[in-house]
Amino acid sequence: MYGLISEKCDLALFIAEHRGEPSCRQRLKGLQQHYCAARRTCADGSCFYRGLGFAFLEYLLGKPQDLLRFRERVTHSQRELMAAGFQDDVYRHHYETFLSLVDVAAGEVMAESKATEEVTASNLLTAFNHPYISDSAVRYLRLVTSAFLRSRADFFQPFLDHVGSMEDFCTQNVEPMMAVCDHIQITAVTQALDIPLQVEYVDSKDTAITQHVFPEGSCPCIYMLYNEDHYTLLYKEGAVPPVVAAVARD
Amino acid sequence: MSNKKEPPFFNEDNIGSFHYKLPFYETMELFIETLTGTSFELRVSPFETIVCVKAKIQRLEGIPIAQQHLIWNNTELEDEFCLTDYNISEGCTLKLVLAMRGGPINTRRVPLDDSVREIAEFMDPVREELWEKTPTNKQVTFLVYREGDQLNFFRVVDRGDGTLTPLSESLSGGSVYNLYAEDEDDIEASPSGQQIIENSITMNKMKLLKSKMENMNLNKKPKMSSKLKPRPPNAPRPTSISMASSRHRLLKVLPHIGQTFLPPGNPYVSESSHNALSTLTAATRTIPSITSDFLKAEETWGSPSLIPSLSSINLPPKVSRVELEDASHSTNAVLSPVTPFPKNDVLKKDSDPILHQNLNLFSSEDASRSISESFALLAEAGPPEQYGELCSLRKMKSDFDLLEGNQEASTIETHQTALSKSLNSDLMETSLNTSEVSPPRSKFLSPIHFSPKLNDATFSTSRHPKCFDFRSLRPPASHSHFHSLQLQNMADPTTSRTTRFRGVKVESPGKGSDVISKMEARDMTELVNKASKEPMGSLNNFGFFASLARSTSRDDLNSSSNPGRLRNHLIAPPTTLQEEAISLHDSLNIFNTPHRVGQNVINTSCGRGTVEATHLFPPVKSVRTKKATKHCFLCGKKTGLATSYECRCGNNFCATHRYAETHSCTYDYKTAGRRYLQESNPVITAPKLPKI
Repeated sequence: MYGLISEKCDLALFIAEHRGEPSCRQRLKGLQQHYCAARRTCADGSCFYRGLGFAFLEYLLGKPQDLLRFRERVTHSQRELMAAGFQDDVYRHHYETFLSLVDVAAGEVMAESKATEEVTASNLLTAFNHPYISDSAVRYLRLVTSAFLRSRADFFQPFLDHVGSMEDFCTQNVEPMMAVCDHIQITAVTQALDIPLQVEYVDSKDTAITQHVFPEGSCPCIYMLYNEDHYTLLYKEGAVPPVVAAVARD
Repeated sequence: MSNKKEPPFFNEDNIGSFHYKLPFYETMELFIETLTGTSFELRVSPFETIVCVKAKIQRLEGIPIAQQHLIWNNTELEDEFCLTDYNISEGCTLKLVLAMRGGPINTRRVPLDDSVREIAEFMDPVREELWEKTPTNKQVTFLVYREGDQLNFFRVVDRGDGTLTPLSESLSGGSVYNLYAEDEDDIEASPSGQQIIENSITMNKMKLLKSKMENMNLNKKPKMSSKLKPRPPNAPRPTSISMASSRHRLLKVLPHIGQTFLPPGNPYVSESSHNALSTLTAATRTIPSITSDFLKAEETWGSPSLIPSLSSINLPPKVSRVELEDASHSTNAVLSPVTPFPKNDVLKKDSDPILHQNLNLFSSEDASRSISESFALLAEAGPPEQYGELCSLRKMKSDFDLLEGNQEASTIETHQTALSKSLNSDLMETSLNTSEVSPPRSKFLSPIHFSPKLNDATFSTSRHPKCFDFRSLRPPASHSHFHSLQLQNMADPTTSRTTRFRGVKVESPGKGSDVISKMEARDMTELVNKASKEPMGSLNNFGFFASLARSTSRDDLNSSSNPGRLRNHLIAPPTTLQEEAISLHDSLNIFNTPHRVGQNVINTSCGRGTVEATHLFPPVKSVRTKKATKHCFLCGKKTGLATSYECRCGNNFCATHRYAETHSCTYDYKTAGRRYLQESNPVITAPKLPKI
């Protein structure tokens, strides 16, 4: 039903349906101590950006103060994009798309009355599953990442594992929709938009699950599972709101 | 990744005093910097492997080894290597990045086509093994190539800076036919990633060559005549007919040779053993000289050929006829067998100035003289060289020359030897001649033969536009590579030539194309092995060529046997080098010398040898892919991959003539359009309504 970001599903169910090897599934069960739900993301190269944008806006539902602060952050990013050398017509559309999504999260689309949190959540989910809107939002996040990296090329350049300028790296590994994210991109985007993120790293080896928090030292509010080169959203609080589920089913 | 963590026992805080007492080079401080901007110190030994460093970081920071990527100088550090391997020294700052690459497009659902699936199935049993050794989160490339029913897998891990890890494993699926099994083993054992890369490159090239060769062979076959007249020992003036027959022979032989040369998609390069390399180097040295000689000869001949129309050529009518015939034959044959190496272009460039010089010289000197005169000169030169029967040989050779445009290459080689050692060259030539015609005579003939061959070569060039290329290529004699290229381009006479050229190319690689050289060396070694029966001449260079030509060398050369070839090559280099230098400096001199002419004759003999050799080699089945080059149907311009446009009329066009109106397309668009409309708009007739 939702191709890009799925509905919340029970973590046990998610693990049961996991395609990995039994040992991997066994290790994933360790997550159940802390999490109870998950959202699948489409493996199209942008799973991290899409999941990040959606999860954070979803987290901000019902938190007007934080929403406002995030909105300011987004509007501020416009200047960073400009400073990074992007032409106005390159980012304008995606920027506005993302800003409108922030507004959706704020429930301002419903003109008459403030929408309930559930309705807003379903609107958000619908918007993020709209291929056009969703990709535009992802593009915005990619551009912000790129701008952040470009503006701090001196710092980030030594971390690249190949010789080349930061511009080349950004045009090849950040901005294209197919480009997968890596530690550098994750660091950049979470710092650029101040999105506190915790990644549960479940690798294929027999090591314990490790946690990585971005930006370092912050108090994470959204959680992702990194497993088999894929990012999945995790939720601490569990049950799927019945209303959202109902709306989604419609 | 906070630095606040209690440093483990091994950190410098605890055992630092101990470390400080040690000599400076035993331990060193490294700084590890993370993406968060924090950095911490690490005390390590320069001879520690990267994985050890990562283990220390894991103990310090709690990041599993598998998740760590250490980057230094924008190079990802491989687990298996030591710090010293990367020249990491005291105080260097390594960058620590986590392996968090995520979000690749899901490829699991992509349907595999049959060939891929086949390979995938094959890989399944070994997949575990393959992945086990694969570092996580690195780009891993599996090289899979297939020859016959054998599949070879090589795993190469990209370090990210263009270099590849040395790890490679080949898994072969049991084919009995693999001739190159040994080579593959070598590859597996080879520690350097470069070799692997080279292998892949060479494999590609080999495939290309193979396909080209096959195409060429196909073209030639129809032209070949069934008659194979053995030449009479004493050839009177060569008649056009006899020439033609001989050529046919050569042509037939050539395709086989080409096949033999082409390896069945094997990674020869990597395989090449030290011996092969050494032989190659030796050969390369020797070859240049030969090529230079050859070039000279060609140049002399070429001057007449430069004239576009045959009639304009100064050569006596008889000669011209023969040449013309030869040229036609040779052109057919030449094109098919040899595939030019990619490096040829480079060689051509280098050689061009030289060629021009040579051409000028030739034109100045030769042009004034009639071809017949030049022949006479050659003949004269021969006698002084102590060849009593040069004259008779000349006649023979002239005939032969016509037949064997290809042989010229071999003759060139022989010339080289001659330059280094006039005596040797003579012997070589003679041997070559004998193989072709009659062995005993060949010895005497050598000087004379050269001249006729030269004529042939020139003729062929004059006739065909391609010939011009040859000349131009040859002049660069200094660069043996050029010669080879030229030969290929000319598609001259016989595959034997092409083979020789290849050998030359191999030699030339000294300049930088190691891979090619290796391949060639391999081919050469193979040839030598097969030709072991034949005793090679004392002449080293010649022997090398002979190995290529095989048959020729066998008959005449009693002195050195096959095993000696390699040695000969090795020994030869110094002399050949000198020769090359000489040839370069005095292209004119070379032309004058009869030896060069004689070399051409030798070439013919080589051609024979190649024919014989082909029998030894099992026919190689090559997969024909496509035409080597496409040309615009209208303007004849060469069209590349991106600029080839096929019209509905079935012809290939360049970008400017691709549209129907620009090349007066023969396709009937009108009817086609009508038919399309008819099919897409069927007439609908309503069924009759039943009467109520």
